[in-house]
Amino acid sequence: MKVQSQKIILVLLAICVATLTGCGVSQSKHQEAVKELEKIKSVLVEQQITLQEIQNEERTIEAKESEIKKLKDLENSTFDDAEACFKAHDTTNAYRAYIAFVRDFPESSKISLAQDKISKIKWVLDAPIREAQAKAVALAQTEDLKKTAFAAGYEQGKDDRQTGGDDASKSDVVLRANAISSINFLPNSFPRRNYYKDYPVPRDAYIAGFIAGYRGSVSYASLHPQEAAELRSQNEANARMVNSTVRTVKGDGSSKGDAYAAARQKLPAGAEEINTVYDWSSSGSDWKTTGTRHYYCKITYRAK
Amino acid sequence: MNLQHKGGVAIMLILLAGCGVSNQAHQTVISQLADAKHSLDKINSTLGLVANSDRDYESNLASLHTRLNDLKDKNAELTGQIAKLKAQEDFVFQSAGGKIDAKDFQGALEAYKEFIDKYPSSHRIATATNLIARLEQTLKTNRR
Repeated sequence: MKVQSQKIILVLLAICVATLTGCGVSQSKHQEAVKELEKIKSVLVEQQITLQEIQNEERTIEAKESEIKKLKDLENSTFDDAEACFKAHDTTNAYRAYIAFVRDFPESSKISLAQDKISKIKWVLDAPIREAQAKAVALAQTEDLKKTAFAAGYEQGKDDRQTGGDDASKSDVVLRANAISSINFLPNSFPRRNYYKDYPVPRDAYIAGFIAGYRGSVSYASLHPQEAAELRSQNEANARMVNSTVRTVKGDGSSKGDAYAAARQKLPAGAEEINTVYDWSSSGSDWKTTGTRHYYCKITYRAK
Repeated sequence: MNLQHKGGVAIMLILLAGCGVSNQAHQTVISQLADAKHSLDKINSTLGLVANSDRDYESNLASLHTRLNDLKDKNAELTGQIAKLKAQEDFVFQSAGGKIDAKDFQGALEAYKEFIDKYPSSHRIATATNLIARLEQTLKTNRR
């Protein structure tokens, strides 16, 4: 038994020795490695921090050197900054920079260059304003054209009502057709052809004016009170539109010139002639005969 | 179990527990050490430094510290240079104009007045006086 247990101990000791030599590492060797690891780790951390600091310092130095370069030649660098903005199409900042340059370096030799750029940029920056102004002018012209066309149509409608036997029963369709055919008799100065094609707005205004002029002569008494009220209100609105700025005067005489002169005399001071329409009546049965003609002239004008 | 037997077991246990470290644990440390050295080598190579031993690592770090200190000195020198340049006439005048751009009209007015006090013989005095008059007018209008 004693011999057996001694054998067991020897076997176990052999196992321990084998474990220590083959499978394990001595404590001192391991501690040495751990120490080295700690040291290298701390070097690594410190080196990374230092490197970061170096990079920060280098960046700061770079910025400062660039600032110093600018400060040493403030005039040129300010101009160059403005030029850079201009080249990058940053017009707003370029404009500010050139203005500042002119203010801060009024005696610079580059002043004329800067002023030239300022006027160029201003032209670009003002483009939307110019565009809006052009639009407003075009709109005003269209409105004027509409008013003129309406007024001409209104007068023609009134004439047709008077000369056509005061027929109140004509439908809008018929009046519209009459208005369109009357466009053909407008003088060449009136862009009548364009009324059909290129200027639908004034053409429609002319037709509306014609119908309004024709209907305006209807006796309210012959209508239902509600219809009369609506018509009166419509006529008043039309009259306001016609009388706002565009009006007409008429004259007559034995020749076109006399008729024009008679109408012209009735024009108020400062009136701007928009359109002149002539008509005539004959004492003969056929207009081609030499019967005496009496001429009428209608001048449409814009009151000042 | 007799005394001899017990003594043998104790020696075994001491040997196993106290005198050695498992190979696996040791290998982990060795691998971490290799990684750390690799990282250091990488940093050093970007800086153009070579390290053949742990002492080299330390001396490289020391040279980096020296470089950092040099840069800090240069930075301080540049700061002084900038301060000097900012005291120049052109800069002071332009800074006052910058206040106009920032719509700080009161600040600009004071800055132009300060400019006249500081550089009474400057060729920009007339311009500064003119700008002061315009600024006073603007401030007056704004107050209304």
